[in-house]
Amino acid sequence: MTAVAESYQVQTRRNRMGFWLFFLSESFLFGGLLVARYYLWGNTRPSMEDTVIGPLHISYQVIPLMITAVLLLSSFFMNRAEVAIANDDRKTFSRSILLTVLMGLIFLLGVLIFEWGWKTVDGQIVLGRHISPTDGVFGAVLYGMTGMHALHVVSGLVLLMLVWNLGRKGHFSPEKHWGVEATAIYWHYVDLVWVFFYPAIYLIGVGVHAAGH
Amino acid sequence: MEHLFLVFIALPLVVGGAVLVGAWLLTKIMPGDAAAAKAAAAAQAAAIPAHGPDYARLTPRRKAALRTGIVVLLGLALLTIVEFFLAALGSTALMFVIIILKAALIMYFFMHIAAVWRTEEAH
Amino acid sequence: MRVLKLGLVQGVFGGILGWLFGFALVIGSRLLLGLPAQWNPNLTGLAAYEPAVVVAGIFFVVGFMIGVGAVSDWLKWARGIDTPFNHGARIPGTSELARYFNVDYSHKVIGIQYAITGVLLLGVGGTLAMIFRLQLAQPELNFVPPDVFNTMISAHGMIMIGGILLGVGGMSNYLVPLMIGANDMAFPRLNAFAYWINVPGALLLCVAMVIGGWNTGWTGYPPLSAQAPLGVQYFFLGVFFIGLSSILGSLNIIVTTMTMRSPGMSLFRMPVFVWSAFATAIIQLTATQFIGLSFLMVLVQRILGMGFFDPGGPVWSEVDKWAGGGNPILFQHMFWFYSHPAVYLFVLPGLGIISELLPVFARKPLFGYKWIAMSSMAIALVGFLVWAHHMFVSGMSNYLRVPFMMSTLLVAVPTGVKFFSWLGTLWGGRIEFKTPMLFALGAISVFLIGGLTGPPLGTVATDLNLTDTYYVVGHFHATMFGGFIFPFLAALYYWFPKATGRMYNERLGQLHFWLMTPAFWVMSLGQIFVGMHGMRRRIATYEVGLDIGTAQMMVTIAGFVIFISVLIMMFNLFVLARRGQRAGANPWRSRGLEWQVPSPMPEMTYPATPVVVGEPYDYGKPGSIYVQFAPAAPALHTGASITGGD
Ligand code: HEM
Ligand SMILES: [Cu+2]
Repeated sequence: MTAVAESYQVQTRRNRMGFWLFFLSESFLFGGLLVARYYLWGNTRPSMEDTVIGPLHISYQVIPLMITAVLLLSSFFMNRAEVAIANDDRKTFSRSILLTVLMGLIFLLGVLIFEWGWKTVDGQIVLGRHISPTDGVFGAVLYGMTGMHALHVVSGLVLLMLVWNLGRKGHFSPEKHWGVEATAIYWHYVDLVWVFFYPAIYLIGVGVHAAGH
Repeated sequence: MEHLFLVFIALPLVVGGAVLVGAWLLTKIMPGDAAAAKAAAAAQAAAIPAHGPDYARLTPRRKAALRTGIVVLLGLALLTIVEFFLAALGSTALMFVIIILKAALIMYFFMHIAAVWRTEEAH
Repeated sequence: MRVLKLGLVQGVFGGILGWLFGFALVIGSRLLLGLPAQWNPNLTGLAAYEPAVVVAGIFFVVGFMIGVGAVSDWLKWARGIDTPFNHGARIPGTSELARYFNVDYSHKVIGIQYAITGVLLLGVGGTLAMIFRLQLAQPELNFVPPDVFNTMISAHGMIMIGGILLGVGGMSNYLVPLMIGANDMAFPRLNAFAYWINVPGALLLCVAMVIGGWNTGWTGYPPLSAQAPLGVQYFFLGVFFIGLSSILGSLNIIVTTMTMRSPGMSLFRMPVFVWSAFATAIIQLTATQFIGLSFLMVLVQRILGMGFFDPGGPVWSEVDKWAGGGNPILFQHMFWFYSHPAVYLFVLPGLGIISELLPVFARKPLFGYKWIAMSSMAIALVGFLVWAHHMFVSGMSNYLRVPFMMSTLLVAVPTGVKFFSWLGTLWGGRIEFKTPMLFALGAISVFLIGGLTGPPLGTVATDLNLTDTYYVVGHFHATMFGGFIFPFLAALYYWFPKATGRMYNERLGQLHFWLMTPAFWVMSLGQIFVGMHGMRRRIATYEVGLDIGTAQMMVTIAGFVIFISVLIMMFNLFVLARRGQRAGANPWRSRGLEWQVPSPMPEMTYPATPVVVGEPYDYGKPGSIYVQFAPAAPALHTGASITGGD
């Protein structure tokens, strides 16, 4: 704050507090989406159990579970990256970050391809193999929640690539790596949100079948 | 459905508050930090060569951190699977317990929420 | 051509480029996907391209922020380039005035930027009010066409709220670091970002009026807002970005108060304004997300057909699988979960200013300091539990009415605490009636009108008759003027000599007060009166038979008097005061930290660390000291811990 910069420790402590306040604020955003979900869906949810895909005829219900697992795993690698940089191990740091990015991408593609079901019909790209955003409140809330979360995943991926690049150039040391720490807690926060969203969208409530089925 | 809504608008607030208080309490009762800091200092003193790419030695402290990561991951995976099957049983209440457990694990071990209350930089 | 180098100008330029880019992006991808460029061929003009216009609006903000330079440092950090932080003009060789049109990191510059922009917005909104008040001056006039009237009242409401938010931001950004003895905020770059994002946000609000306007009032309830003209989209976006500013700014205030207080300044030795700014920040940080989200949900309902608030199902859904089920009442819940706490965030800083000024001009200790501090927190927290008192007639479940009535009436308790503390402070004081003090006293009288009209609205039985009448309009204008406008003016007059080093003209200040306050009483009581005689809200005219023409005329005249009195203030502060007397360091003999340094303040407010050794408001107690200055030697670190310990 003065012309003589505050010590790194002092500023890091402030940054950390600021970041957590930001998470608190974001929790109200995601909490608002949960409110909408419980208000509009109540004790129901769109049923997925009987829709199957692929040659193996996997039930749709399994796909969210799989991408959830991938996201958890990405959090684990993020944690490893942070531990690595705190110990000045840049090689492991790089590798772990890249793995985190990979898992994040798989999660994102899982949402985009399997969940949202982008497909081409007569040369036009349309949404909704399983359910589309215009399918009443079920579609609206499902796309609203996964969309807002995916937006945070994307920004998390951008942050990850940035710190990966900076780490490669040797910008972080065991004493000074707030950039990595910030990215890490942001990424874990995205995971944390999914911990609340996954059951709210896919598990809680009675599965309701589409009228057409 | 309005009553449900009231419950759920309170829920994020209550849960958030409970997790924060819980994490803070944990920092008070867990001896971990002080001990780990000592171990780290000892490891540092054991004169490992200066920084550099091949400083990838596994200090005791780092080993402990990695182990924590693995245990937490296993815990989260287990809870998720239990959650998935609980859904088939339709036990919403238990599921909320699991959600809160998972959230607490992530916030405490991965996000180091306790660090917010720490005044000096002890890494 | 120096003008072209100003951040503001470059921001507007970048914004326009961004807008064009966003528009082209959507149209281009539509064409690529083989869709027609027009989204809805039944509409004409821009409205036919609604999704493109929305995306363009978002890119307008992005382009503006890049152009103005609010993100330059962060973009450098992302590439690993460190940017030094230093105070003073950011671009060497530019004038002091140019700092206010560029991105500047000093909290004093940012505070003034906030305040001036806020005053500008209040001016725009006020001008709108003057126009539609002419329409209402007599029954059955046809001066403003009804759809223009609707757009004007809607824009008036939200632009005024934007102005208030900016004014609040100005007060807290300028005063909080000064009052706690810090040289800047915890995150100066974020602070600049949070200010600048208001500018494109406010521009969007203004543009919304000309791209079709909207007819929903400031509340934007669906289903009306889901069918309103195109302007409603920029209204949503503008509010969204101003809300983002609230969130980031309040985060900064909280961290600053928590970690940067002077040594010795325990929580209960902070000036009361800091307490109220802190309570405000808590509301802004959390509740704001709800208005952003609720508006976003209507926004996507309009362009993507996601039927959150649409019971009947989207119009053009091809697959009729799970149609319908939306509920507009959800919107009202989410909207008021922000907007009720928001009305307290408008007034809390102002109430803090009143408590700050009374002891100075009464030369007596503040009565019940701790109670005042805690009442701010209590108002902020209880304010979260009362939102549905705006929804008594919305069709929500009936059993919710009584609980919300009770929680609403509960808020009167902490508010009452403040009133009694003010009376206790004034009691037996030797009051100096200078302009700031007059405005503080005026604020109390006006806020009293607002406060007393509240409980009849909070009580279900009476609200069923009063809701959606001009009585409500009278109620909230009195609370907002008493809780924000009057204290804000008091603060402008009070800190003006500190900020500029010059004294304003006291006579003109008094004239401003004596024009504005009685005029406001007339306006407010007039609104309440016509409301009780059957004048409804948000209608463009009324029947002769209501027999309220005279009262309406008086309301309009009073409104104009208020408008003119504010012009007098502008003349006083911006023109006359240039040649005003030198003010000296402490013209009001205040005990506050910032008054112990010269006026205008140096770039670094506190070269020597202030150390708090006593109570803040012990006016008139012989020998009591609040603050001492440590010798400029080793910087003492703030002992304040997050838990607030002491
Ligand atoms: C004594 C405390 C107060 C009580 C009991 C109270 C109660 C109410 C109630 C019940 C309404 C809804 C009226 C209706 O639409 O039928 C209302 C409206 C309003 N109040 Fe208050 N209020 C209080 C203080 C305040 C304060 C301090 C503010 C701050 C500015 C404020 C601002 C507003 C606004 C802006 C509205 C109108 C909202 C709209 O556009 O519909 N009130 N008040
Ligand atoms: Cu209210």
